[in-house]
Order: sequence, then structure tokens, then C-alpha cells
Amino acid sequence: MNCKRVEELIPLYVGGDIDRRVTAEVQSHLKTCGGCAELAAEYEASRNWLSGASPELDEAMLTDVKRGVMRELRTASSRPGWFELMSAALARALSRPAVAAALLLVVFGALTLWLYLAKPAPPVQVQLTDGGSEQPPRLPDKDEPPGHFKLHRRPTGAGNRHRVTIARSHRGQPGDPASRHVLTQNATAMPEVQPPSAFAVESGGMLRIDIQTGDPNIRIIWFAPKVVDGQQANP
Amino acid sequence: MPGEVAEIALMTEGLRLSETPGHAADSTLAAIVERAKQGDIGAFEQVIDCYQRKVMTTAWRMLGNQEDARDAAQEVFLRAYRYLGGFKLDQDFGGWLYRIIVNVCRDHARKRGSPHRFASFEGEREAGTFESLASDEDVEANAIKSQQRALIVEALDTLSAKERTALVLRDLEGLSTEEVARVLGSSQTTVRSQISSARAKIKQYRDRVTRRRG
Repeated sequence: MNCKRVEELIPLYVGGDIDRRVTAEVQSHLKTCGGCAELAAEYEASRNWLSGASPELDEAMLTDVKRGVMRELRTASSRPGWFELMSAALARALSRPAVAAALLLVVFGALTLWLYLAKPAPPVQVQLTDGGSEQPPRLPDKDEPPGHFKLHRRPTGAGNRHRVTIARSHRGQPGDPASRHVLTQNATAMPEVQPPSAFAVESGGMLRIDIQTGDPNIRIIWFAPKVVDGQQANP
Repeated sequence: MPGEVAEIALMTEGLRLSETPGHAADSTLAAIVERAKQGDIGAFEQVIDCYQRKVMTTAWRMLGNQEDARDAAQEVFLRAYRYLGGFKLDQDFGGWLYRIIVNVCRDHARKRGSPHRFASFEGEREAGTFESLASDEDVEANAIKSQQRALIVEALDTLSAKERTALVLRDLEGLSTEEVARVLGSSQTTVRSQISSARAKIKQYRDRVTRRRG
């Protein structure tokens, strides 16, 4: 081990922070090298100097710290929380019949008003159209009003399978020329197929329905059995 | 109960926080901590009795003056009480408390932002530390000690916050490198590097002071 390496290790060596093997190597170097041994001695002295004067703590200050902490803890533990304060206030109020009656009236009034204002959601117009391959389903525009949907039905390729797509239609514009049926559904419900003939499939396999939601990034793909209400429907 | 606390305090005095002060005292201390954990303020008062000296000393070394150390110690105990619910009884309470001390002192130093004030001889005399001293020799000896403490604080001020914390825990509080790493949440290699650099800076400072005097 050379002097350069030992000089790097001495700060850790004096505190016993290197493993035994390296410590032994440093020790054997220090026995033969006066300069490094002197440096190690200086580091030792520096460490002793640092730990030589501990802070003197007087009892009054320690008592002061403890008293301050305990006062804070006792105040915090005796301080009622928000829920306790509210509960106490409510209990006090309810102990007076007049106040209790007034409170009940207010609650009843608020409930009635809420029930009155809560109207059912407007119905959704669902249009079933046979868009054909030349008219793919259109994504909704940003300014398009919610609650109006079109169903496009078009062949998906070989055989007699059809692809049915539900897309929102534009307010003010007439439906597509190929439009055949209009179904009215609740906005919260998944559109049901009514009447069954409107969604009839001609051959085996599943019917795939793409539903484009108001969010252009969300599309619902729904596979339904070809038979509706236990009967094979007509195209 | 006060006798019991005094016994535990005596056994923990001068020891590392993480060191087991003996089986009997350890189990008693664990029982006290458990009671405190359940919200027993009286039990927590006993915890303060056991650890306040150590907390104050460490905070003083980290922050460099008594006033800040006192504020930090109060905050340490308040924070310890607040987070005691999350302390697991199989954990080392001392190590857990050291982590709080380090965090509180770090927050304190960040808030303070200004250089440390030194615990000078004048300051201590004003605070009444030397009121009870009788002879001139005592006054002189204490003045030298006080000056040395001020120099040490000044030497510690030459270190970065991380170096200072690592050095205080390793060299002044006597924790092992592994324990320091655990308290600081870093690796032993990082801690060794911080300690090595801190010792070198302290030596340089001392050499400067010695040259100035000589």
C-alpha cells in the first residue's frame, strides 16, 4: 500500500471505519512511514479535540423543555375535536323542543326541495341506420349535444354478418338518408334492441356493436347473440 | 414510579440510544413506551425523562446553540408523541428517536437559514451558567471550555448538513456506521464517504486555528 492510498484511508482508519484486512495493511504502512504516522496522529488529535467539549446542559433548561412539551400535550388532549364540538352543539340544540322542531322542519323542507329538483335524465334518441360501407360511423363533434345516438348497420365482409355502430348524431341535421328506425332509451341505460327485427342477423356468429361515447377516446364494443328474444330475426 | 424512571435514566445516561441498557431496564422502558403509545401522557413524560438529555445534546451538536437545541428538543418530543402510533414495539426506540431528531434539526436549520450563533463565554455568563462559580480558576477554566465549545461549533459549521449529521452521529453520539446509515436512510458507503470528508475538514479547521495561535 502506497502513501497516497494510506492518506486517503487515514480519516476512516482513525475512527475504525475500515475492515480488518485494510486496517492491518494501513497499520503495517504506518510502522514504516513517518509522514503517514504523523498524519494519523493529527487525525486522532482532531477527533479527540472534537469530542472533548460536550455541551453543558443545565437542569433548568431541561425542566423547561419537558414542561413545554407536557403543557402542549395536555392542551392538545383536552382540546375537543371538530366532531365533538358539533355533537355537543347538536345535543344542546335538540334538548330544547322548539329548536328540535325547527331543525326537523328545516331538514324536511330541504329533503322535499331536493326531491322536487331532482328530475330524471332526458331520454336519449337512438337512431338505427343502415349506413352501408360508404358511410362509416362519424365521431361526435365537441359542440354536439348529448343524448342523441345513431345506430349504423353495415355488412362486415363475407357471409351475412352485419356490423352495427351507434354514434351520436348532429342536432338540427336530419338523420342519414338510410335511417330506418328510431329508438328512444334512457340515457343511463345501455340501448336495447327494439324491435327485434331491427337488429336481425342472417347467419350464425355474434353480432358486434360499437358504441361511440361522447368522449372520442372511449368506444364500447359489445357482442350480442344473433338471436333476440329466442327468435331468429329478419334482416 | 419516579424511582423507576431515575433508574432507567441512569442506565441510559451516557449510552447510545440504540444500545440496550440492560434487560430489566429495557423491558421496563418497552412497557413505558407501550403505555405512551396507547396515549398515556404520564408514560410519555417518563420517556422524556429518559431521553431529554440525549435529545438536547444531539440537537445542540447539530444546530450549534442552546436556544435552537431547546426548541428542537421540544419539537422532537411533540413529533415523537404524534407519531408514536406508527412505532412498532420490536423496533429500536433510540434509532427511531434519532431519525426524528435528524429530521427536526434539518427542518430547523432550513428555517433558520442564517449562520449559527455560538455559545460564547459572554452568552453563557449572561444566561447565568457561571453564577454559582466561586473562584477565578473556575471562571478561567470555564472560559477556556466555553471557547473550545465555540471553536467546535465553528468547526462543525464548515461541514455540509449531511457531513455534519453523519459526523455528529458517528463520532460524537457514538453510533456505528451501520446505525448512522439506518438513521439517515442511506448506504454505509455514502456514510463512510461523508464521515471521511467531514473528519478531513475538521482537521483542516483545527490546523488553521492551531497555526493562528502558534
